[in-house]
Amino acid sequence: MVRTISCFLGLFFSLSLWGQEKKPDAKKFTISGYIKEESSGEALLGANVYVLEIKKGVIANQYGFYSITLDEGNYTLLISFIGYEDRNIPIKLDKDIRLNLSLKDAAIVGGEVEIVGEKVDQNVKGTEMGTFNIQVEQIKTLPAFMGEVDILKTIQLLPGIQSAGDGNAGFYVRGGGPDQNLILLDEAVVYNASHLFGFFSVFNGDAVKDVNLIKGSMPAQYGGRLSSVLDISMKEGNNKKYIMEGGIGNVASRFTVQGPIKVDTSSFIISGRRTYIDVLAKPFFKKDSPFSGTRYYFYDLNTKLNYRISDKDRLFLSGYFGRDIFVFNDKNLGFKTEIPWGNSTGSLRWNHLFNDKLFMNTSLIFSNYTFELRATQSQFEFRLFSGIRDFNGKVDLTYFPNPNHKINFGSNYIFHTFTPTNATARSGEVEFNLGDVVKLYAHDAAIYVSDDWEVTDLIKINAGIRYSNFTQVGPFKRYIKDQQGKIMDSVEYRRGEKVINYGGPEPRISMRWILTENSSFKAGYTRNLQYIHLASLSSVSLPTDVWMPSTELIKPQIGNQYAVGYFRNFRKDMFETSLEVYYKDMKNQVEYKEGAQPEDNVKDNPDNSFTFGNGWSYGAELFLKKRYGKFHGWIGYTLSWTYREFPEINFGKEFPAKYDRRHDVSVVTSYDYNKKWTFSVVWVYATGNAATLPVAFYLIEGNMVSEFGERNSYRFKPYHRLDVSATLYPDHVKKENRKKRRLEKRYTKKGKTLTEEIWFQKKKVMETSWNFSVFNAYNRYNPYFIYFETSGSIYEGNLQIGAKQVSLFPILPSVTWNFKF
Amino acid sequence: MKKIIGLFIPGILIFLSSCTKSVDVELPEYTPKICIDARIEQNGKPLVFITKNAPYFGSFDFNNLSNFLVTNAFVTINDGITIDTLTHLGFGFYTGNLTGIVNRYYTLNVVAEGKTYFGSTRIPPPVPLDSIWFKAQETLDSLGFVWAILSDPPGQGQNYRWFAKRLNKDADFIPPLGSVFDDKFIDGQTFDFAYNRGIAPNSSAPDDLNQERGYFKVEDTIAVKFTTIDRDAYIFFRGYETALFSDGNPFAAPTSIKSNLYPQNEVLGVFVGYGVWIDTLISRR
Repeated sequence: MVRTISCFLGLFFSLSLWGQEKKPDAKKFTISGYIKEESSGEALLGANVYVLEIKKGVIANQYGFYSITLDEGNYTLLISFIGYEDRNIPIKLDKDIRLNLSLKDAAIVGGEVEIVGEKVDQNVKGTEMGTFNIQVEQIKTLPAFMGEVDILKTIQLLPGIQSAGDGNAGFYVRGGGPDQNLILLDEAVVYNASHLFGFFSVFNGDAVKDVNLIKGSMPAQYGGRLSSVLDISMKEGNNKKYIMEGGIGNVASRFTVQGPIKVDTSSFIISGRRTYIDVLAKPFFKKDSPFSGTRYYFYDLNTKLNYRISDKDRLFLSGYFGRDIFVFNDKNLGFKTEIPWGNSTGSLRWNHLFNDKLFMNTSLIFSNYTFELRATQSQFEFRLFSGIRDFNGKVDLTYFPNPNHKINFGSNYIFHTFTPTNATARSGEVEFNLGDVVKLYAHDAAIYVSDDWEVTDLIKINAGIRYSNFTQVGPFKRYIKDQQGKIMDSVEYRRGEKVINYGGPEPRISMRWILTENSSFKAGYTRNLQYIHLASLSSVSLPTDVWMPSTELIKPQIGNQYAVGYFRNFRKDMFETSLEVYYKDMKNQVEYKEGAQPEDNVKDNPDNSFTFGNGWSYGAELFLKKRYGKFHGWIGYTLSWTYREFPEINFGKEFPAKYDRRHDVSVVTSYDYNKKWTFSVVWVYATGNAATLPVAFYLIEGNMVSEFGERNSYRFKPYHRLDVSATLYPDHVKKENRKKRRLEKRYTKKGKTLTEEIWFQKKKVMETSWNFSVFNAYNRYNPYFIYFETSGSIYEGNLQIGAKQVSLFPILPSVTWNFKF
Repeated sequence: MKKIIGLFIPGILIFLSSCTKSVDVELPEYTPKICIDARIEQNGKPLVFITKNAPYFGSFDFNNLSNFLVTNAFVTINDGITIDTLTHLGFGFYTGNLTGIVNRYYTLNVVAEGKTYFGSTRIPPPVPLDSIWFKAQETLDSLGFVWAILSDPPGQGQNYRWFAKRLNKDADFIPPLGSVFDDKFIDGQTFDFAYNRGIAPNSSAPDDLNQERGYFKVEDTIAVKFTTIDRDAYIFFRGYETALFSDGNPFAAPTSIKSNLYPQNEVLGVFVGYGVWIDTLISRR
């Protein structure tokens, strides 16, 4: 059935392109170029270039490049991008034109800015369903958790994206697990995007330019995960002037420096962030406590360099390095443990323009995630480590043959090295034989082609096909076991020798049908294959969760998603509303077998600990947004179900997934009170997580043993929380600058201009803002987990069992001071 | 090893739990089930303890405790030669006439409350310890652990369980937490190890509550019972000890302990055969 769809799509393509080319002869010319932000020179990805006369437009790609081919003539181009001032440009098209443009930040010119946006009326006009673009600069006005503005926390306020709850890493999209989200930072995969169990994400808001979240129809250029893509682009660095900015909060501080190396040609940005050990640990540990020395901290560093070699070529080099370190000390027991974990990524990218219509990006990427646990107790030393490392090369091309088509095609190759949990242990001089360090290797490749095709004025189709292939290769040793589970023999594969191969087509199709001027209907179908899997041993996501490749025992996950949606804008696009309904089925889901222990992995193939099953989810997402005005924001509501069925779990009966969340509500509002103050209120509500709790107990050898109920048969109380924040932008105008402003008024047309624009000023003005936030303003004790305490005993006849609920965050006020100069 | 991972859990709990409060939890319905705790030791008589599971929040006192003891079950053990019918001793305990023989398979059959349950086990050949001795801990004068040297027979897939008893102080042999281990990492090797003193369930003895808790003392006479068990019994006890150890730990997966009795979803407990080696030592400084 999949093959049929792929063949059909292939035919579709060639017919559509061919059909377009057969037009009466008219001389055609191409307008192309890059769209940038005026003050910094940063590329504006996703900017809209619309040709008024033919009522067609094209969207700049992620490097800000656009190209549009028209018949010779006179045209007016309308360039627009959310948050920026539109520009109208008259063009006389009688030869190929290279037109690079820059747009001015609308905030400067007194426009209102949205926080989460889509390109102007893209809500109705675009084919993508379930795509959100997040304006990083604007989320700084939302209530900040512990003073840190967070991209992951913000996307969890959108319908269909669920947080895993306080203190849980990862997020869930439309019922899919946390490993089903492809998180990219400048095209490098980030395997664990959370610091400290999900309290903070690894993304420093000051270093990030653009965040794109795709939860619905994933275009063919993305693959390898079933549920979503979170594509994050770092800022390139202001290539006109130096800027230093940062923030000091009560929990963490950050500092960013960016600027030109050679004005308008090359620039850099370096951004760092760190938490304070003291603040987090001190309230819990007194000096004479046996636990002193226990601490937790994280830091991260983002760097990027870019160089514009010529009009046709640009080079970018970006890197990320982050670490979390947890140290626990118990002097009484003579026990110490140190747990460092983190990601490092690097990407080297080359943009090349073959001609006005064909754009190419080639990237070489490195990504690494490691986790380690070192524990010592007197003479016993134990070390556990795991990780994943990728070497990745990809080529992506965009071809703009005419305004009705935009064709993306390319290929991607990754070499993975997996280190599932390995351990070493020694007691004094004796080294325990825990087997050799096991690593698994695989080749992961894909090619794709897709077309954004304006079939008619009303119907637009994005059709694509991706073909992916995955091969596990040696060196690898497969243990052959007998029925008792004892190892009888083994098969050894040499370096590079094929162990197993999987692959298949992944058709992607979505369609938009304009019903009226401001409403549309969309539908989409995608099929995804996922070759790598995250296995979680506990009911809580931990950095100990291990990435595994597909092997002879672990088949690739297969996901099919069907979605339809109705989109409607009101009052000249001031209000956006949408209703999306989806159904998703997932095959070959991975879970640990019941009773699996971490040491089972040692001296054995780790995939023997897994069991497999299927999942399915369906739901409806309602979204209402007010885009402009002093008062703006959105409400999202999701009604959904997600279930699993595994023959070896829960005796084969279907059970709700841990994050099956019937209702999920987010209300996000912002109010621009005046030029100095912005207030923001966020309220979230979610049905409680599912958990497996004991329902009975029984006696073995005189000890009471808990008997657990059916898998995930208990529901925590609903989670809800109110966050409020106030952001203050004080005037920091010194006496000298008053004189400067009088001069400005003479030289500028609009009323308010950034003082830095005046080049003859020597003194720079520092922009500051204060953010006051209260997290969990009405102090609700949302359950994190429940445990049971027994008192008395059966033997004395006075046994009492009480349930205790642990919550993580009571009301948490925080203050952050942000500066920029 | 489990101990190490488990030990840092309390740290995280202290670190993270900022707010704890008592709550009323409405647990899902429980299914009443029979629980069978059965064993047969080499040279010993079979001992079977049959009870019922109790709802988690039920109230307990000695009066209704008897509701959970099964005193009228029909219990037989088949050793391949004879079928022995066990007699009820009282309080849910049953025993019989068979004597445990090494390498023999035993099948247990229980009819209780109208339903039939069964399971089987084998008494593996015991593996002796090369030597056992007491050693006081460096910083403590008269308290320490019992040490032993084991030479694991190569390749045969042994599973072990350790018990110890202080003559004149302990009523019976007590397994400490972590008493079961297999030879996956130590196959064919000779190595030494130590065990702390296990605590009898619900013990209120002073030396289980003060600083002597978990330690053996100088001048104790200690009997060590070092046993071998079959694979299914090992898997049960490993799961059982993990459950006891991680009680209340939210980071552990809540698992059902895999019983070796059938039908699997309807009965709880284990039937284990022990191959036995016993020796005694007197702890000296």
